[in-house]
Amino acid sequence: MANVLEIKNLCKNYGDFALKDVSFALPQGYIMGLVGPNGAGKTTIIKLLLKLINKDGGEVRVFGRDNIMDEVAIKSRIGFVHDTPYFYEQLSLKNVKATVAPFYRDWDDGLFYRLLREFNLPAKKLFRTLSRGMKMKFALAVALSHHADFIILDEPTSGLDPVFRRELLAKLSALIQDEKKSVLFSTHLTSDLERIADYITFINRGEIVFSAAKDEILEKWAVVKGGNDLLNEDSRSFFKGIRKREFGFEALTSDAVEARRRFPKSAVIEKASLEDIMFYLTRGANHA
Amino acid sequence: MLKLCGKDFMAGRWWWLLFMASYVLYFTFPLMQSLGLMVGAVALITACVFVTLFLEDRFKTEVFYASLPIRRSSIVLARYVLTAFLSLVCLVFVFFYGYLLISVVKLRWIAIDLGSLLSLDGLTGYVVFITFLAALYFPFYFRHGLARGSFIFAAVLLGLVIVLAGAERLTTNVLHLTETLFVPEFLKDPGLGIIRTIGTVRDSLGLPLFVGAGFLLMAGMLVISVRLSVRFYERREF
Repeated sequence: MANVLEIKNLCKNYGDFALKDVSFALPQGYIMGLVGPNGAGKTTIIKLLLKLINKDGGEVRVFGRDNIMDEVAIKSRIGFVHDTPYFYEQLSLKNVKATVAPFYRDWDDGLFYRLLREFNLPAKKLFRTLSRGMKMKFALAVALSHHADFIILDEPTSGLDPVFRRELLAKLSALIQDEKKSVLFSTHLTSDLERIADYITFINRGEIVFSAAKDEILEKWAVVKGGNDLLNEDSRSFFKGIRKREFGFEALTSDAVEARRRFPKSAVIEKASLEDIMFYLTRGANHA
Repeated sequence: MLKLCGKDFMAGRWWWLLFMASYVLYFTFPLMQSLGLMVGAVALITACVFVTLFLEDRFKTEVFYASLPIRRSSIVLARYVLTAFLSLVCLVFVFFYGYLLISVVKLRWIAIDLGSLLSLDGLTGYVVFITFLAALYFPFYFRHGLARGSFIFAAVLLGLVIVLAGAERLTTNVLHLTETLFVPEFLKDPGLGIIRTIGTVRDSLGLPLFVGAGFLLMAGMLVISVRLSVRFYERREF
């Protein structure tokens, strides 16, 4: 299975924040969720992919090609949505399209207007009069109208109402049905990822915590709940994060099988949601 | 590159038209002589280019277009091409309007010598001056962005004017090496005075050498400016 995206040892140093040796890969035909708390480095990775900032080290390959050497060829096959849609606000949607379409060889006017109708966006409406949700829909229509093979979305659902979030996620799921298109979807809303992602890459403080298939993650990671008497040095080192209370503790583990073996009856072991994982990992390991 | 100019046209066309419409009121200005027309043309170009850059800065569209399949060097070159295009359009517009005022409306108090302005000397002065301004401005713009870049450009330009005025004073009044340019005849219509000075240079160099030197001067300024702008913009982070 070919990878649409391969990142190896990617580094970027801002002084007060650094992306450290980031490596992960996205196979063709899948949706990957790039998840992490605000300021974890998600947008930095996306900006490096699109060459909006310069890397300090490492390698980014898209469609098997170097993203700097083959920048134009790669970008012509990428559709992107930034966290804030940047378009000329005084122009109508039709005219904004006219400033973008010439840069894509495979631009499909028919598809663009079909998407506008689908998203209930009038082509003659000025961009500045749209709500945030409508602006994001328009940005998505632009990103999808040139038959891109790889869609990159940076926090597209943050600040949007649940109805449109569901619509957007359904659209993305439908998009990858032909198994050729791939999606990289950055968000801090884990519920969105549980709905559609095939792979999850979790980033925290500029470092990749894990990158794996979602089902594998949800199978392996678990939340253990038990009495405080179960907490000793050995069990503490086993957990990735602990929340201790007066009458017991809750802890996260990345090895559900081992947890069941260690605490066969003395603790309750539940499947961890992505939100649980994010919570325990970002709150710091083994805090009590 | 032309696609990028087309994008700027779509974004700024109504503003450009508004500036040109405002220019129509220009005949009410008291300083209605050749230099006034030249300054008006340069002001019109500056306004049109600046509003294009302002709109991009205001809506942060630079981030979006830098994400499209376009080389950064093309984005830089497109700015120079757009400036050349706007210079040509504004020149034609300004001269056509001047012609209308003088020949059709026959406003006799307008003392503009269109023939001199449209001569080889007049056009050379106009083109070299616009090229100089663009060549000086864009490296600062691509290095520092619109606000800071424009401020540095204005400061450097002011510094250059002070240095040139000082040099003129030094060579004429202090060292007495040359005669001052600012004689009453020159000051009567400085636009024509500048054109006459360019004509003197043409006469002393001869036409082929004058054209060659003018071309080399502009090409040199542009090559250095474009190379600096591309280098700065390649390093720019959004």
